[in-house]
Amino acid sequence: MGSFSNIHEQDNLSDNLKSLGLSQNDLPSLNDDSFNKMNSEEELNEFKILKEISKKKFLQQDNSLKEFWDKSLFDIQKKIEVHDEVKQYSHLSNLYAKKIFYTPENYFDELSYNIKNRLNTPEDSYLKKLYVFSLISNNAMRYTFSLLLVLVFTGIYILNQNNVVHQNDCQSLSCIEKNEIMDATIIQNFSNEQLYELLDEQQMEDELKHLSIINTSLVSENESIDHLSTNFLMEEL
Amino acid sequence: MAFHHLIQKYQKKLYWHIRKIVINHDDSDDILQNTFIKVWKNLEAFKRESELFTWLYRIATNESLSFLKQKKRANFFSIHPIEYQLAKSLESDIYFQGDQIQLKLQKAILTLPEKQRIVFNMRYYDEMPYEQMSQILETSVGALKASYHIAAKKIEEYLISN
Repeated sequence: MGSFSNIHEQDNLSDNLKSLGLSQNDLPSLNDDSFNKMNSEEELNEFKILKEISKKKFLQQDNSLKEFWDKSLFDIQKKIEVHDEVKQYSHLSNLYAKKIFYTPENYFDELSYNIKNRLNTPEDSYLKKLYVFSLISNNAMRYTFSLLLVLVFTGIYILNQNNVVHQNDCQSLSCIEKNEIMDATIIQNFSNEQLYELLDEQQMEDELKHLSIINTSLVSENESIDHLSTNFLMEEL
Repeated sequence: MAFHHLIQKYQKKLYWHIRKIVINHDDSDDILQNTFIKVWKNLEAFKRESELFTWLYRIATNESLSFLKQKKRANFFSIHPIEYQLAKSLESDIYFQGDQIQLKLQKAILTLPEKQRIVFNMRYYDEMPYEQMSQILETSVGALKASYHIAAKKIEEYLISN
């Protein structure tokens, strides 16, 4: 007695730990007390009454100890599994799980308070505006808005095009209405021959007659219309 | 009071999970607060089909992914993808104190697709069992294992080539 009565258990434990690739010293969360407690059970075997009293207490501890063992072994096994998985990637395994991110001081202490403040604060109009903006910024709305813009600009372009008449749009003047041409603010690329085509002969004769009546008053009795210069005529046309 | 205890119990785990997804502390703080507010509002609707922690983790993951989606939308006209910007921000982040190699690792992780990144972080940093990850991400264990190994391989290749 007095020896570590659970020597077989210790051996079993060592074997189990070895199978996990660990030695007893690798268990960070276990300390000597747990082994001592296991020893004391065996030591009390000679003192039945005493054992009876302490056994209950020990059993309670034993249950929690068992859970503690189970959880520790589970955590260790988890670590080993993950470590083994990463071993095949040499660079990754060398960088294994170092702490690199930090938080401001007292961040976690104040977090609960900050969350409670947010819960107690009613949503303000800024958040509503954010919500509206988020509606607009989703994909469907974005495409619809773009399409609308395209349609608006196309419409403006088409409307502006109606006031401009281009000769190149058709092969002859016959495809364009005369009044459209005459009303157009800009007549582009018409040759003189094509302009002559537009002239109304009857209208020209009437205008000439009107002119000649005016001019005969200005012209002397001996002058005839033959003496009127072609330049003068062309100008009047 | 119970809610206060809930926050106290899970704040760190959830924070670090979110932080590894969105990188920036201020964004992580925002998302974490949103997570707990959502939990508060939906606590009665929690059907206990899963463990509380699994439920919390799921909300935190979804909030983080939504945040990244919003950030991508806001970043629509930028020539650089959002992951590039996150990696760039690490270089001047006062709450990041890793060396050059750790910075490279984080940049490598940021090259992964979002869900793969989450799987990698949960396994590599949080050492979470696949079964638990399966409940949180609602993906099969086999798919998670495959995803993790693909992610680890990509990161390894990135570290070698850079």
